[in-house]
Amino acid sequence: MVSTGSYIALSGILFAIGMFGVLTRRTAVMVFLSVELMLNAANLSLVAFARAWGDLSAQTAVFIVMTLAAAEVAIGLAIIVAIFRKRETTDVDALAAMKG
Amino acid sequence: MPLYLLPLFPLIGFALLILFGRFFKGAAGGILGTVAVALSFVVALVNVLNLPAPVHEVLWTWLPGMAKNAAGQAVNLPVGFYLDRLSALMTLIITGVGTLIHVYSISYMHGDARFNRFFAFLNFFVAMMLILVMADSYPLMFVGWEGVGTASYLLIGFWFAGHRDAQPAEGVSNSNAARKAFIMNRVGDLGFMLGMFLIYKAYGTLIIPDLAAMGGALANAQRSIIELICLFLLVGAVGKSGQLPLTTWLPDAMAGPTPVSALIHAATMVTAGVYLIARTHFLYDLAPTASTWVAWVGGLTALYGAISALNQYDIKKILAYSTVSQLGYMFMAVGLHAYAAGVFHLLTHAFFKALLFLAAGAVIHALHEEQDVRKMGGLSRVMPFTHVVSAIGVLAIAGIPIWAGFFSKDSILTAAYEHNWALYLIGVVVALLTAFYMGRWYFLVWQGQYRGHAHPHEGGALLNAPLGVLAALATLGGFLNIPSFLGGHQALSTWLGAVLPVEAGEIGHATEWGLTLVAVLVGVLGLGLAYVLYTRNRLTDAPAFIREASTRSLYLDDLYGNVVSRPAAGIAAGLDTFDRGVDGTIEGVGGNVSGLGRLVTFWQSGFVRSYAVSMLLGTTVILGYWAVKALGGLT
Repeated sequence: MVSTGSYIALSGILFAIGMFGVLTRRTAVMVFLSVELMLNAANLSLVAFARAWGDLSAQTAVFIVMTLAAAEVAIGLAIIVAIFRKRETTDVDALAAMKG
Repeated sequence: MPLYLLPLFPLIGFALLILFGRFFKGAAGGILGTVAVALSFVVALVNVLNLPAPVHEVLWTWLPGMAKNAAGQAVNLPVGFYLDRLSALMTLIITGVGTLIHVYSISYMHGDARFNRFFAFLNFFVAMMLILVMADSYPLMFVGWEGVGTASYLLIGFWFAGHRDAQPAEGVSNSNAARKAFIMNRVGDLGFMLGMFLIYKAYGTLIIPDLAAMGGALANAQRSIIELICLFLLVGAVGKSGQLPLTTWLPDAMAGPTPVSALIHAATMVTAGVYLIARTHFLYDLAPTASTWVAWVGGLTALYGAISALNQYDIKKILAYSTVSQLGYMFMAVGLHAYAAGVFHLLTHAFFKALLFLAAGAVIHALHEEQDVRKMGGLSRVMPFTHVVSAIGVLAIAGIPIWAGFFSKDSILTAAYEHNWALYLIGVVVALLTAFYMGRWYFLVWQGQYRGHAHPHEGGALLNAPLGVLAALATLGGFLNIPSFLGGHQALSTWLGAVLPVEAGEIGHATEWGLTLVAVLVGVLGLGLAYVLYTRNRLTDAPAFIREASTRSLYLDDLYGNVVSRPAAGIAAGLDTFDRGVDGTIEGVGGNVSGLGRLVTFWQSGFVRSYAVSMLLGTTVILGYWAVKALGGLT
């Protein structure tokens, strides 16, 4: 049986990869994809902990996160499409109109 | 006829012209204005002819329960008119000379962009002046007093910078002259008001006939209070009549159109001060010190005006300083309690000075707005009629027999000789100077060679008719009051004797003959001197420092500029700087705050990824804190 520590390590690696993607990618779609990766890394750690403690409440939380992620993808992609139609770019650095 | 008709006609004319001025085309507005004043003249004439006793008409109560008198009863202030022989004479002068000047203005102001407005202002002036002289109480007189001041302001600045016919720079100086007149009159008005307050405090009434009727009871008040009242009223009179030290606005007032100078600043409004003192004679008779002040103010102003007139180059400024000087004569007379002589000179001066101003206006008109006497000369050949009437005016003001000025000036000099030899000497010197500068005026304008480039021509009938009438009056006006040593009966003095105290002449006929001879000789000498000096086109003969002092009117304007205007401007500048300082402090505080804000806005860069970094950092810090805490601290 794979130890809980390995799952947590994998989850941490995935989260770090996602983080790295968010900070380095300039295309909005890729940033979005990296955010998804981070969400699923968190899901993995939740499931691992649920197995370790024999408690299903953490798995319930995972379902909620998956539902939210689906909704978030729907809205997020729609916004990205709208921005692309308006600006003909999805470079997040070019979208700096909110600068104070 | 009811007295209120007198100011009513010009007021109607004013209302029509100011409200419906745009419906009057061509000269119609001018004719309307003239007719209004002429109707007033008819009323005045009828009233004067039917004046067995003074008429006092109360129209309505103006301030009911204005105050409580000493007995605790409420005192009302009515609006009413009072016509006795003094005010009747004034109404005749105002409406008579006023009508002539209105007629003249129809031609003079022809084609002006604000022709109807001009006549509206003139009518307003005449109405206010009539209220001033016919007022039965000092407050109502003050209403007229301020009204004529307003009219004067409006008419001096008639060609202001916004006027279509005015040059911008000239328009600004015209407006400044108007403001100067108004502001300097304010100083005098303060004196008038303080005088009124004191009269009410001392006697409990402000109604002039009531005060006059108190007679000997007036002397019950403290003498210092009476003197103070008279001095305060003198301040008011000085302001209105352009006497020292408030004289500098009057020469500047020549910025207005010439008919205005003739009517307001020579014949009528500026004599209001003399009228005020003659009207208040019952108090001045009880105030010897204040009367001496009046006489000395008059004497010094006469000298000041005459010296200033010696070397002016503006054809109207010479006449303006001459007016200042002649008003000084009148003040001298009323100050010496020779009220009839002062009022007599007021009458003749109204004739000959209006005549001279209107003649000057005709010259200015003929030369296309040229006012510099250095660019005139030899006009007697092209304008023979105006030349003759001007010569009459000069003879009248120089005191040459048989013209009007001879009789009136002589009666003032006689009064001065009787009471105060110093003032008599001043009077004789001023007579000499008057004859000299008027001779200079005459020779520079009318004799010699023409020095300008315009093509002068005689004015039309509308210009000439008033000149002719005034010339006749200036010639014959003196015969109203032939002194007894010349076989006359002093008709005017006797007539005025019903309302003004007349002193019995104590000096013998031989002395009077001597005084008259001196006055005439001095007049002839002045004219002769002017003939010798100015007949051959010579312009400058006086030594430089006298010339400069005279041209700048003894530096009085510069004195006021340095003593009053400059410090006032300095204070204003200081306050302005302070204001800017306060403003700047607040601006600075605001700037610093927004600077601080700008420091913080550095964080809101608009870059999504930098937000993500800060989120990461923040989370790391919080997690690190919890981790350290969970592991039991750093120790």
